[in-house]
Amino acid sequence: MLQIKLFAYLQEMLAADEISVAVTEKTLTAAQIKQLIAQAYPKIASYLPNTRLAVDQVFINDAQTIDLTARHEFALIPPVSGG
Amino acid sequence: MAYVAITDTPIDVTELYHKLVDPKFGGIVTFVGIVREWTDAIQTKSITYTAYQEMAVKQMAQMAAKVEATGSRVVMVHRIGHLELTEAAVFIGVAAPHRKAAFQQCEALIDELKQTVPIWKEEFDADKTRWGGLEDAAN
Repeated sequence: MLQIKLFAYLQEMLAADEISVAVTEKTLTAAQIKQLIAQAYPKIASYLPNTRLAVDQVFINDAQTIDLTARHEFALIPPVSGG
Repeated sequence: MAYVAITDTPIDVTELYHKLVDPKFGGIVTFVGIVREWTDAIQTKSITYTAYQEMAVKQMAQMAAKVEATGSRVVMVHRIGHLELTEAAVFIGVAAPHRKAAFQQCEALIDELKQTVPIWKEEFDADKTRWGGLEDAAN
């Protein structure tokens, strides 16, 4: 089970600051993780193409593979708007 | 050593400016981003900022460290929480031996912050509430 932090409108849309998705694989790409999130939470699916995945507080490209046997901090980062 | 923070209390511009003052530096450039009322026809009443705080601070510290490796000093602070019109949302200050580097580095830091640091605004406008960064007909 992956725990994924939510922020901004994604947090508001799901009324949760964290979601979880079930995984059985040992490795997945960021794109595959986003696909699992889209399936489990269809309400935010259309927002995911513009949303980046951060693993251990670092942005990950969609093609990058993540080792899921180790413990990580996952977060969905929608387009930022600070400043 | 850079001073980097996300704060939920008002930004004290004078206090942050003084962190940059040093006989080594002949030029200090500061940028203060404040809550603006009008964006074309949209009237903003207030803004709430939220952040992925740990990641935001880590990124800001990395950005500041790169600039400080050139011999400058950096102060970067972003406010979170509910801000009224004219309140400071962000302070970026760069002190350098000469003005040219200070101007360039200050602008580069605010540009990069706006593009990459995980901070979001929710704008309370006269007509409705809008999330920053969301390109959506409903927004």
